[in-house]
This record gives sequence, C-alpha cells and structure tokens, in this order.
Amino acid sequence: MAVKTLIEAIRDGLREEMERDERVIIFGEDVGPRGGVFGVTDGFSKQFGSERVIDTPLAEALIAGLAIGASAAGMLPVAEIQFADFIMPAFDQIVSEAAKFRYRSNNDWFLPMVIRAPYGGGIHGALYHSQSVEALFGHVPGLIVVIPSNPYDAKGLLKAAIRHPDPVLFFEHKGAYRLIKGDVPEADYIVELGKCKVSRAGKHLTAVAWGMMHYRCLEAADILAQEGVAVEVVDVQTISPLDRETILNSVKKTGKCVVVYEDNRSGGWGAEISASISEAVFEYLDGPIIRVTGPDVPPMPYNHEQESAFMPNTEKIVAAMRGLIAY
Amino acid sequence: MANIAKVTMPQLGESVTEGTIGAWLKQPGDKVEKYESLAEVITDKVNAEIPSPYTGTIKELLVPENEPVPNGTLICTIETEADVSDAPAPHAPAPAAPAPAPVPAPVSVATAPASVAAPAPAAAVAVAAPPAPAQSGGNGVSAGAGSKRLSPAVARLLEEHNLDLNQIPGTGLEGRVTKLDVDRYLEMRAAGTLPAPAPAQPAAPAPAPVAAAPAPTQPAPVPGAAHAEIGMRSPYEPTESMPTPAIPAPAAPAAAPAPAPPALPAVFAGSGDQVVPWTQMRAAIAKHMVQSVQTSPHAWTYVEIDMNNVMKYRAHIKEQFRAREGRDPSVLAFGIMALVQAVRQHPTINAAWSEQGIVLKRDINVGIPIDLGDQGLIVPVVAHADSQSFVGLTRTVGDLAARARSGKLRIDDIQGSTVTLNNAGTFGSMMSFPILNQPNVVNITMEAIVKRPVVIDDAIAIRPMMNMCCSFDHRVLDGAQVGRFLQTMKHLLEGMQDAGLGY
Amino acid sequence: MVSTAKRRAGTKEAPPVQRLHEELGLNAETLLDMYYHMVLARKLDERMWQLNRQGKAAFVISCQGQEAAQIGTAFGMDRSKDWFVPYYRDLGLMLCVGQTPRMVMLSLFAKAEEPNSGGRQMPGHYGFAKSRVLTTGSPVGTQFLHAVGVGLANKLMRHNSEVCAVFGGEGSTSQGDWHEAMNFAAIHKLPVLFIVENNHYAISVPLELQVGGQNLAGRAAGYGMPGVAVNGLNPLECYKAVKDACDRARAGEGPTLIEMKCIRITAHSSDDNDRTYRSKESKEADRQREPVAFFQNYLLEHGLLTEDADAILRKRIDEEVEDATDYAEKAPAPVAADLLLHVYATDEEVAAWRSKH
Repeated sequence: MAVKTLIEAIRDGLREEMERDERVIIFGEDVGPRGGVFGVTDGFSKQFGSERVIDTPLAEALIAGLAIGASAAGMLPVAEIQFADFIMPAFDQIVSEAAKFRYRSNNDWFLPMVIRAPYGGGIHGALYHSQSVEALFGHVPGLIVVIPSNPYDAKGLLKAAIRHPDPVLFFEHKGAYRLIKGDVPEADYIVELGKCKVSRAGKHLTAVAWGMMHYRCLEAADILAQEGVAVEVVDVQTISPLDRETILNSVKKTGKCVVVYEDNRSGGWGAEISASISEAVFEYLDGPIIRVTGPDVPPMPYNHEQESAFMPNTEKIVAAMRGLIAY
Repeated sequence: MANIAKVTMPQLGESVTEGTIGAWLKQPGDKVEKYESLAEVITDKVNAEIPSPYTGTIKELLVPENEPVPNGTLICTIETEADVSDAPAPHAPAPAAPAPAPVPAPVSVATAPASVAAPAPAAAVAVAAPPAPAQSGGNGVSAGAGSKRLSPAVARLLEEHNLDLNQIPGTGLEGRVTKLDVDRYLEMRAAGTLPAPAPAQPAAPAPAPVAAAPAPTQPAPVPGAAHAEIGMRSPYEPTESMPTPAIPAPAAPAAAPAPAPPALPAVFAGSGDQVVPWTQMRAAIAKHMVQSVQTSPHAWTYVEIDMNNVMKYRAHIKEQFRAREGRDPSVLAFGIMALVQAVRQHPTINAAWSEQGIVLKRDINVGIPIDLGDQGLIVPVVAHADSQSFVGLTRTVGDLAARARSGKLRIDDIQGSTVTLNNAGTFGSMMSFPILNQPNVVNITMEAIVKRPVVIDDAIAIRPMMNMCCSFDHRVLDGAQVGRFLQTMKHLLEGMQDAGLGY
Repeated sequence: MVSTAKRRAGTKEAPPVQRLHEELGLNAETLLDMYYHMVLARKLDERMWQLNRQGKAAFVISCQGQEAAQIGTAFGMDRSKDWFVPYYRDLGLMLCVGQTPRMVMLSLFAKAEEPNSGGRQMPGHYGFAKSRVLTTGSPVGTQFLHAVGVGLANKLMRHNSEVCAVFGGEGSTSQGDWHEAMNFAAIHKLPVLFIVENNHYAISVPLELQVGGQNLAGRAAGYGMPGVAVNGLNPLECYKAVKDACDRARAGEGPTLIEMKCIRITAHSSDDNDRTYRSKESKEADRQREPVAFFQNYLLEHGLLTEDADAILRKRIDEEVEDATDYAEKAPAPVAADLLLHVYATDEEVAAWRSKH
C-alpha cells in the first residue's frame, strides 16, 4: 500500500473508473489540459482525450444540466464545479431537476451522475472560496451528499458514487487535499455510500463530524485521551441520506455528544444530527448535545485573524469536549 | 541600523501545504530589491518566482534547492537597512499552523450563560474563544441552577435500577450525578463494594451533601483534576497508560456488606454560627476521601529512620548544589530516590487493585501531595521517577510545587500516580495516618526530622531521626510485605553515601 | 438549407400550401395519421377543460394552437430511436410517441397507473422512458440543458445516429439555461434540435416584452448555429424544417434552432383568465387561423380527405376520448403509503443496475 494525499486518492479513483468504463466522462471548468485548478484531473486530458475530458464554458448550470442529460442518456458523467461556492447557479438544476428525476418519474428515470466540488475554508479563500454547502443539499431528498475525510475512503466513496444510479454530490475539503494523507491500496474497492463510520472507539463522549472537521476531531480525541477521556469519533461520510443508526448507537453508549461542522451554525447539518439524536435517544443523554461550528456570518473573511476566528479548530473542539465531560 | 529580516516559504495556491525551491536566484552577499525575484518555487499547483519582501543584502539561504519544505518554513534571511520588525508578514501563516487563539473570553461556569440555551448573538457564541483548560467547565455547558438536575440518561437508569439519587456520589459539574457515576455505582453494587444504604432518613432534614451545595464561585476544574487534587481516581481513566479498570472490586464479591453506620446527628447553623460555603475543591476532597476509605481497607505501620547520612551529605553539597541549580537539594528527592530503588525490590508496592487481579505498574510515577493552604491540597506526579537523576528529581519536585501553588499545573502533571510519597514533616508532624490516593496502594509519609538520642552499638548518640509512616490497601498488601518494604527504605536512606552527583 | 431570411419572409404571406406534401414525399396514409393525431390532441384537450370546469380535474394546461408544430415535429423525427425533452404543452407530441388517450386522462386525474409520474406531477409534466422522453418538471427552461446532455451522449456513444429534440415556449428562451444550452450545443456540434413553440404569450406577457427584437430564429446566428422560423400552424412546414435539421444533426453538423410561430387559443391554464390581458378580437383572429381547421381544409382541398371520412374519424376519436375519460375516472388512485417510494434506488436496484454493466 502506498501513502497518498487526499487529492491523489481522488485522482486515482477517477482515473481507474475512467479506465474501467468508457461511459465515464469528466467535464467542468479548466479540467482539460490544465487538469483542474487544484489538479485533480492532472494528466487526464492527455490520457483520455478531449472527448472524455471536456473543458466547459464558464456556466455552472450548464455543467449540472449536462450531467443530467448525459446520464439520462447512458453515460456516467463526473462533473466538476470549480468551487462549491460557485455551485449556486446550478442549484436549480441540482435541486429542482437532478434530485427529482427518479421520484417525479415514478422510478422510470434515474441519474447516475456525480458532481464534485471542493469546499471548506481556513485556506485564505475568503467569502467565495471557503463555503461549506452540504446543508443546502443535504436538505434535498433525492441527492446523495458525500464528504470524504481521508484518502482511503475518498477513493472508495468516489468509486461507489460513480457506480451509483442516483445523483451524488461529492464535496472535497480543499484544505485537506494535500494535508491529509493515508494508506490507499492499489486494488479496486468501493466504500459504500450511506454509512457513517466509527473511526475511533471510545466510551465517554461521541464526536460527530465529516471532512476536515473529522480530522480535527481525531486530533482533539488524542488530546482528550491523555486526560483519560475516551472519545468515540463518528465520521459521517455520507451527509445525506444520513445513517442515523450509527450515530445513535454511539450516543446511546456514551450519553454525550459534540457535533462539529465548519458551516454556519444555524441550520447547519449538525443541527439535523443534533435533532435526530434528541428525538431518538433522549433518555440516553447525559448532557446537552453541543455544537462547535462556524458563526452565523456570511462566509469567512479573507484576513487571517477573522478567518481563524471563524474556523472551528482542534482547540475549540477540545474545549467543548472538556466542558461536556465536566458536565 | 541594519536588521535581519526573515523570508518564509509562501503558500502558493489554495490547499498547497509545501513548496520546493527549484533554484535560488540570489546568493548570500547579493543585493536584492523589494519585489525582485529571490527564488523559483515549485508546488503541486503552481511554479512561481517569489519576489523579495524587502530591500537589502542576502545573508543566508536556509533551504537547499529541490527539497520540499512546509509552508511557513524560514527559507532565507536578508539584511535590511530599515527596521522590519513591524512590517506585515509577507504571507499569512500556513493553514496547518495553529491559529493564535482569539481574545479569550472569560467563560467561567458561574458567569458564562449557556450558549446552548441563551439566545445570544450566534456569531458571538460560536466564536467564543476556547476557554483555558482550567475553565473548561464553560463552553456553554452548565448544570443549571441546582445540581439536582438529572440528565435523561441518569433519570432512566435511576428508574430502571430503582436507585436513590442521593446515594450516588456525583462527579459532574456542580456535583451533578453523571451517567458514568451511576454506571460505577451499579458496578460497585454488583461487586458488593458499596456501603450499605443509610437506614431510615433522619427525622431532621439532613442536608444532602452534594445537592445542598451552593453554586460555587470558582471555575470548575478540568475533568479529573478535582479527583487528582485530592489523590482520587478520576472516572476517566487514561486509555493507554492506565489499563487499570476504573472500578476496583474485591476478590470475594460475596463478602457481607459492612454493617450500616448509625444515623448521624443533623448539624444546624445556629445564630452566631458562620456557614462557610464549600469550595469546589473542598467538596471534591470530602467526597473522594469518603470514597477512598469506603473502597480500600486501610492499614497502617511505621518505621524510624536515622537520617544522619542523608543530612550530612545534604549539608556537604548544599552550597555547590545551590550555586549550580539555584535551589537547595530536596529531602523529598532523597526519599524518591530511595523509593524508586525499594519499589524495584517490592513491586507490589507500586501496584493497583483491579478486577483482573493486582496490576503491577511498570512506570514508577510518584504522587507528591502539595499543600495549598485553605484551598486544600493537590497531588502532582513526578512521572517516570525511575528515569530521573537526583538533580532532575529536585528540579521536578520544586517545579511541581511552585506550579501547584500558582495554579499552573497541567492535566499531565496530576495524572497517573502509581505510588504516593508525602512530605508531611514540613509541618512538624511526627506521625500521620494518610488516606490512600486511589488507585495507589500505599501512601507513605516522611515525617519531621528531629534530633533525638538513640542507642547505637550500645552507646547513646544524637541523631536526626525521621518517622516514615505508611498507610496501605489491605486488599493488596499485608503488614509483613509493607514491613519488609519499609526496612528496605530504612536501609537505603540510612546507608545513603552520595546521590551520584560527583561532588 | 433554406436561409433564415427567406423562410421568415415566407411566413408573412399566405402559407405556401401548394402540394407541399408531395414535395416532401408524404403519402396519404401518413398525412391522415398526422391529421388524426391533431384532432385527437384537440379533442382530448377540450375534454380536459370540460372536466376541469365540472370540478373533476384540478388543473389543465393546453396544447391548443400548437398541434401542428408538435405533430409536424414528431413526424419529422425518427420516433423509433430519437430522444425528446418536451415541455408542458406538448400533448400533441406525446400522442405521437406512444401515449394513449387513456394515459392522458389518467394523468389528468393523477391516477396510479398514469405513465408520466404515477400521479405525482401535475398534468402536462411528461416523461415516458420507453419512448426516450425525459421526465420534465415545472421550472421553465431547465430542459434545454438536459437535451444538450443527451446530445453529448448521442454524439459520444452513438455517433450522432440519434437526435434529441427539446421543446419550449418563447418565454423559456429568456432563461440563462437556454443560452447556456445553445452555446454548448453549438461549440460541440451536438445533434440537438431546439424547437421554440412561439405562441406569443408567456402567461400574460406578450412577445414584445419577452424577446428583444422579436426575432428568435435570428438569435441562432450569434451562437454559431442555423436558425429557421416556420409557420407553426402548418404541420408540413414544421415537418420539413425538422427533417432538414435532423439530417444535419445525423451528419455531425450540429444543432438547429427552429422557431415555430404558433397561436395560443386558450388561456395559459385553467387557473388563468386571459381576458385581463387579451382582447376578444385578438383571440377571435387566432381562432380563424387555428391549425387543426387549417390542416383539415388542406386535406379536403387536395382530395386526401372527404367530409364523410372526416366525420367517421371524428366520431371514432370522440369514442376514444369517451372511453379514456371513463377508464381514467374509474382507475384506482395511488396508495398514500407509496408516497415514500423512489426517492433513491433501493439496495436491490443499485445491485441490479451495477450488475448490468
């Protein structure tokens, strides 16, 4: 097994799927010879040609709508939105159309398509290169929303997404692209969608997070372990449809839960998780469900001071965990 | 006046964490203009030339070509004319670097409204600085008024097991009974190690120890600290270094429960009496002392030790030692040195009781109770005492004591004690009967060193004598074992020639 | 290819009906089949309004005035393999690609066996997988991008052998999606037909407030594709423009924009009152040139249809409409619990889908 960065694992997964199945095509802004602004599709244009790796015009609704039509007609498109912040022009296509194809056609039409988009902040991306948008789409039934937290799962989840007959939004934390590394096998494998994963076992407190915040929770759990507190970390992985069972089982065991997300606090996806916990396992709770989140401001500012004040980080997570443990 | 300005590896591209100098375009001694290219940098995303942030002369190139370095690494220095200390950094710090904490908002338990409940402006809530460790009771969690508050989990467990809340010691915020407390209570009950429940409630309304506590004005201590301070076991056992299960249980769970203690007379504060509210630490000490006594059958013994050699040696090295180390050689450090050697010969001293059996600890971590005046006391730990020299031990002891008194102990400092050595003699005590610092199985005291006439070789001599007392857990140890151990301590201290200092 | 300018000029005069069907090589049987579908669409549509006004159907949206455009287009394509992305007025088109009167009425009453959506969508929201008709929703203009995606697949996987036609009113061309679709289709020369059924009203907003310059077909040039405007009241003209465009598309020459100038006979929908924005005179003028009567006259004039045959045909259609209405009214409604079905593929469906590839 080789140690890969998150972005390398995603690139490998995409390439292997394109090699495996001719119907897989890629399109988006600058994905061709440039290889994408982050380099996810680096070398693809050369390997697969301009018919399968298509530079689109600067039009996000087009990118999403094209994926809808192409997948309806038998292809397996993997579209890239350059930054999740710029997915809004495609919102109508994704929410009004892609999400509803199967339901509104009474199961006659379905869309095996993937839209990838880098999300997340803490990288000096300012208001329009930092946002977390998972809650906007997690709210919409019919969409599968995936956020991988590490290279192994990223590759397996992406392959599962490409081989799934429903539309998948695949959000990748751009700060994690080259920060998070891990073993990735060469062999073909998939990590099934729709499952949360207990990434670290513990009995005193449950931390629920995804993407970069999952990584931060693992760091916080290491610190708490030195204090004798065993934190169980749940990696949500698939935002929607949400595997509530795994989360609930963990909270039933620990009785305490911290939910961490980078998005704005109100109505963030962790709010749904928190509500689900209190509805289903209220009598197992031994303390309030605590959220560690970004604040309710429009997205994070460019300057370092305000950006870092916005971002939930290991320190803030540790403080919340300690507070809840002391409760 | 010339200044040395630093140039760091910039972050070239979002998500990029490192960069490689492809080629230096300047060499030491070269003049460089601001914005003139210093080096070619290659990253995963871009190849670029970095423009110099300063005008000056290249002093040192600190990173070789073709070797990737993380963002923010110092790559070269430039000698400049102007003072650059106030110049803004050319690039923001790398994302991986921990951000400087925002202005810490005071979030003590007493003053911070719960952010979960209070409709405070959301931004303020979420950005609220992480409290310092000692204030971690904050962060929006409050047990609320009245520590009788039950969490749903505790309420369910009480009902399922038909338990009385007042019988269960609470270790949570403001004495709240936590789920873990109930779990532990149930395990102890199953193991038969609980004290028998109190008989009929006394007619007079006895204040329930925890529940009646007024809201403390002190910030809540860090989890575990309250327990460690008084030498008690935290419910949160370190997962790696402490495999000992949290719940000590006797070998014979069928043992008959102790007879019920008689009801105590109620205490009332009459007119003219003064009620001093418990501090958090006081309440915790009270609870854990009771728990320790209820958990371990305490037994006690002592020996007399002639400290002549130690004191002579100490006097001999004192001046030189103070000159070198800036502090006096510590008597306690001599005690720890002897203890480490003695424990190697008597491993059951450095042990803990567990359900699986007696756990003989590999590490020798010596808990040293430190008096904090009216506040109470705390037990910092000399970790890995077996790997420290006399100088190291003296420093560690001095440092721990100083930090204990200034409230600057870290979590690590108060965890993992495997054996307790108490310098009780500081207060002139001649003998004491210490309560065990759970889960340690001995608590040894070094009493006051007093010159007394003693018989040596049938002659009367005047010697600095010290009593060494030892409380021990009779589940693990018997009197003879402890006696042999104390004889070893005595032998080691009386025979002390030097402490390996070479002077 | 007939130039846009010349074709537009033609529409300003009387329709050039002189034996056009012979020029196009259409036999009597085909012409009568087209006529049958036009009458059927009209009569079904009228029945739906009756049922709405009886309180039996909640909502109706019409094809009246656009039957020639829809049926001419359908007949100009290869209905055995081509793809369709319709919009909500395309009842005439749907009847040509396999939907029956019973299906139409089932859809009106939102019954369980309704083929578009199982009763989940409003009437007029078509989708018919077995004839490669994509499912459609209510947002206006989104469908153009889907057609371009289908076109991309048809180019890459099927070497342009299958063409995709996408339909919309002139109002939908104001959407950004229309622009993005036209642009991409032209860049990549995709086998897509953009059919604009210009009925001159988007609910109440007239063409002159919708389209700057009012020359939709002329816009195609700016995108780098041919654009033609045809008389949308004559099915044969529509048929010819579509056939030419399909030939180009299958030859790899890319997309075509076809503006079919139609009329809207009814209000926007059963919930709309067009008297607030249209004069009686304007509506009456439209009725005088409505497409079903126009084609009836054409067939009669050219001896392709007799009065008697017409009466028999219309009686047969009346019976079909009657049967469809009865059948649909009695058909079972969907089961409430099925509300939760088909949000995502089930695990079994995922496994089955994967195993097919």
